[in-house]
Amino acid sequence: MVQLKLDPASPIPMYLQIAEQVRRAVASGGLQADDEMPSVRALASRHLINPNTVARAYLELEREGLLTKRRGAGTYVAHEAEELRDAQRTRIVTGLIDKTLDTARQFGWTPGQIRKAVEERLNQTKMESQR
Amino acid sequence: MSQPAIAVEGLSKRFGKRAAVDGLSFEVPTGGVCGFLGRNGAGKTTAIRMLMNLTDPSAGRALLLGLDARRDHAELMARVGYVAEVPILYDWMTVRELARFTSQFYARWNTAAVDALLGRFGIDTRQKVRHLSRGTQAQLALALAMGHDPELLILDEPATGLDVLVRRDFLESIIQIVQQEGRTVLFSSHLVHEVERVADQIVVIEEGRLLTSASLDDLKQQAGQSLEEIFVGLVGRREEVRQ
Repeated sequence: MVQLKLDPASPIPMYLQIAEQVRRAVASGGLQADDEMPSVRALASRHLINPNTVARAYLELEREGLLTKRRGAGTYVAHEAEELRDAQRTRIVTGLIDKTLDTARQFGWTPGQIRKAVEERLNQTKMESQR
Repeated sequence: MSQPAIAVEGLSKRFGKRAAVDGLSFEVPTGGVCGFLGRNGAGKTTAIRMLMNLTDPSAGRALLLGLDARRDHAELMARVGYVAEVPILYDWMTVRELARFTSQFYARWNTAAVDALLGRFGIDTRQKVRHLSRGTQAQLALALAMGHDPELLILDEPATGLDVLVRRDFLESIIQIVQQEGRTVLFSSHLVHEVERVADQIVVIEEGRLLTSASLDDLKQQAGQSLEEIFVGLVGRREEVRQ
C-alpha cells in the first residue's frame, strides 16, 4: 500500500506528484509487481482530489509501463515494473547528482574539486556506517 | 472532443454604465470540476445568474449541455442543478417537507439519492429548516439540487460561511458527484486553495473579463507556480495596466 503525501498548494501539478511518488515506491521496492493499486475513486475520495487527476497520473504510469490495467479487475503494478526498477533508481539518483553538480558549478568548482568532494563524502559516510 | 458542458460566447451584462460582465467567453469540458475564480465583485455571480436564466444578458449567449440558456431554459431546468450563493429555502417547512415540495417541480426525482446525501450530511429530516445552521442549510441546498440527477451542477460560492470541517465534507460531495461518469461541476469561489484541491479546469475573471481559462495542471506546469501565485500574478498585472 503506497502512502501518498500530496500537496494541492504546490506548484507541481497533483498528477505529477502522484506519478512521482508511485515511481519512487517502485524504485524503493515499496511497490512490487502484481501489487494492486487503489482504484481511481478510492484514491480521489481519500485525498479529496479530483478523480480526473488520479486517472491522469495512472494513465501516465501505464504509458511508462509501471502500471497495467487488468480487465474488470483494477490497476496493478506491472510485471515489467521490476525490470524498470533499476532504470527508476538510476533516474532518481542521476537527478540528485545533477542538482549537486549545478550548485557546485555555480560556485565555480572545477571537475577535480567536485570529484574530490564526492570521494571524501563517500569515505566519510562509509566509516560512519561501519561504526 | 465531445460537446462542452458550458460554452459562454461574448456574454455581457451592463448595469447602467457599469459592465458587471464584459464580453466573457470560455468553455468547460464535460466530465470534470471547473473552478470559477475571481475576487469579490469580479462578476462571478452575475455570470452564473445568466447561465441560470435568472437575469438577461445585455449581449452574447451561454450554451449549457449544447442548449441555449434562455431559449431552452425549461429543458435545462430538468438537467442542470443549481445552488445559489444564498440559497432560498422555505424555512418554515421541515427538511422532509421541503424535499417533497421541491421534488414536485421535477418529472424525475431520485428520493433515495437525496436521502443518502441528507444522511451523509447528518441532517435530521424532521427538523425545521429554520433551525438548521447555515452550513447545514448549504448542505441541504446541495442535496436538493442533486435530486433530479443533474448532468451539470452549478454552485455559486458553495462553501462560503462554512467552517473548515463542513467545507471538507462539501468538497468531498463534489468529488463524489463527478465520480459518476460524464457529470460536470462548475463552482465559483474566491478561495484559491479550495479550487486548487478539487478543480481540474480553471476560469479566472476580473472586472467581468476573462483573464484565463485552462487546465489547472497545464497552468501550473507552464508557470511553475502555485495557483495562488498564478492568480495574484494575473489579477495584479491587470491592476498595474490600469494605473
